[in-house]
Amino acid sequence: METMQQSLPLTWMRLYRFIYSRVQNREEAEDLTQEAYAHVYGAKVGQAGGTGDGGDAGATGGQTAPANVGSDPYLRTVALNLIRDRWRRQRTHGVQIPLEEDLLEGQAGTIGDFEEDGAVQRAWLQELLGRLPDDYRTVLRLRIVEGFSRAETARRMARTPAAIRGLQFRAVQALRDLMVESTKEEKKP
Amino acid sequence: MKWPFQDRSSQDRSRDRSRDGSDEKELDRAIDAMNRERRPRAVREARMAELLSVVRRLRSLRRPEQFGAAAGSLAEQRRRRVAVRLWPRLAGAAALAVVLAVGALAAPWPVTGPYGFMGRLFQRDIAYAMDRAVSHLGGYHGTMAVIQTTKDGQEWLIRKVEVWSFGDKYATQQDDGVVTVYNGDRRWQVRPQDRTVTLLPLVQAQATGRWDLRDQANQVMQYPHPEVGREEVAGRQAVHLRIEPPAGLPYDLWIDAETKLPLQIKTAMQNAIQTSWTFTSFDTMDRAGGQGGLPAIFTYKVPEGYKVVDKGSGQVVFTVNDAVALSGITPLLPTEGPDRIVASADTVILDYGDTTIAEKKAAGPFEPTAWAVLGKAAGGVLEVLRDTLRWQQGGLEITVQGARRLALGTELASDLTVPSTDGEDPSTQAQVKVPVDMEVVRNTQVQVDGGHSPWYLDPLQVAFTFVNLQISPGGIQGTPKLSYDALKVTQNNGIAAVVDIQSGGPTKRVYLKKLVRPDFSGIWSVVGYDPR
Repeated sequence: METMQQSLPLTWMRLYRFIYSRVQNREEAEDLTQEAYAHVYGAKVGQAGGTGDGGDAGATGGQTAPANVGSDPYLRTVALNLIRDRWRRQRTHGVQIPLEEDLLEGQAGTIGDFEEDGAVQRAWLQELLGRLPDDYRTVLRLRIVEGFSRAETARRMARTPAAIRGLQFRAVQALRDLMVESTKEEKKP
Repeated sequence: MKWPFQDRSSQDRSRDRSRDGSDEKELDRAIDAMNRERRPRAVREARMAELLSVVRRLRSLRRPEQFGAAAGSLAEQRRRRVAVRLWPRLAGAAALAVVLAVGALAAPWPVTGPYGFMGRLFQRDIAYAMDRAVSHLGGYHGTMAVIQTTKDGQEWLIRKVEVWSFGDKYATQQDDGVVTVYNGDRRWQVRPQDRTVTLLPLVQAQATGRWDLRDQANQVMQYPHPEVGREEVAGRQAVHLRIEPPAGLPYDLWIDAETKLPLQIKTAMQNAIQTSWTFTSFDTMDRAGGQGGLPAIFTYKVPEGYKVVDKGSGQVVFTVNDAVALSGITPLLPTEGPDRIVASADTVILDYGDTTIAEKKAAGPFEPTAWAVLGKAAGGVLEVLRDTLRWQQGGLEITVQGARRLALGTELASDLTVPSTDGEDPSTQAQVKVPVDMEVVRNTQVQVDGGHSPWYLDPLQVAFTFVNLQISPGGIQGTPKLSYDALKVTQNNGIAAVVDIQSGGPTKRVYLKKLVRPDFSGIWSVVGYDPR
């Protein structure tokens, strides 16, 4: 059986990057990476007795760990389940949100080669952004992609910080509408 | 499958919420959090979760070099904390802990840089876990009791407070009926005795007034704190830690095994009295507050027949120009814009969430607190007290409080310097060395920990007593011969201080040190002096 020592040095950076690409902040990515390893190896250690905190992550809950435990696809599946569980638990009535699910899984629907998946995602996103009005595109680029504060974005766009807050909200909503439309188109038979 | 919020009525509801600005604010805060590489607050509404997922996806367009740009400050904050081995999700799997510990020792991965957190996989930081515990919860509701116990086991309830906490919002209700609430937009206190609703300064609310023991617990975590065992507190499983301050009596802290929040602190038995702060009931907000959002206590409402008193609550403004117009002062501004600006007469507060900058018109010369550490800022004196910096600059008195006080303070005053404890010990300059009995010092520290003779925490008071005893060796009777105003702290780096006596008496200068505990709770001792 593969041990933690053997698996961790080989997989942790890839897993962390995979999780970061989904959650897009270090704090959450660090926690989830840790949880994913805890989940997988907690289950393995627990085979003789307990299984640790199984939660709903599913992939590790059984008493017999699959042979590919510790492999990239296995860890990524666990990580995706953990992200889903975490976000759902935060929600009133734990509802599932289709758009969030789609964006989490990746537009290409693969969790194998996420680098390639990422390139497809970026091209898709750029195409959608190109359909937005100029001011929407600018505020999304400055505030979210470049990461400027609202005050700095306001200065660069010659608007008030309060106006930026409204503008960015409308811009994200507009992009969300385009995403929903685009995803529905792709799902049509 | 039906897409949520596609129907007309839902869109209308969405627009209504957008119009009142609450959704816009929530999304704005989430973007700010992610720009700082922090986890955004939990989103309960499906519509907002959709928008947040769009923001996450948009961030994937960042250039590779932006990937870890904001990571430095976060990693730095964590490095400062005391690391404790703790695997909260695997408490029962001792075998795994061994595997992980071995793995940590053998691991070839880097422990610094953007991926350096992996080293912390094996050293869970309990103080850090406490900090983040609330963000993992929707919120919580509990009742805290302050209880004193005598040596023969008799208990007195000193105070009882009901606490609601939801993110950065909190509310307390004391047993005399006084309710204090901060709901993110305003802070107020309802006093049934006076039938008044008092509007309180908005931003101070974030720094003070919490009753959830986190501040106290974080403070004690800097001392050795071995785990004693697991016990039940307020009907919940808690980890019992023994806190061992240097030269002090050990005392105890219980941390909720599930949420990592401190549930109880119990002091040592001192002078036959032991004090404890205990949650007698504790529940997470989902169970305590229901699933419909914030409990009603967070809604601002003036009861019938009550009058409203405004104690400088300030007003949220959207531009610096509005703040200038309202306050009458021109505040100094860091490069980074704040989350919000609050202005009132002569005062502007820049609120960054984890840090606040308060700027007000200076009223007279700057007088640092006697027991503050002293540094330099804007060519003058900088006062350093725990997590607060204060100085005067360009006719303004500036106070920066919070986690990023140094970074933001330095942007306002480029020469801002906090004294280092690594420099030369000023007491080596003393012309006369004063012998110190360490046994007496340790005993005094224990007494001060128990609430007695708190003046030992103030170097000016200790020097004042010392020089007056030199004038009156038989003891100070009546008014001391030397005035308190004649003494001035000229150096204080937190562990060594120098007090100058500007007139009168046989002593010109007194040298002091913290000999047993180099932190804010450590007592000062005179170690030398210069005769006049």
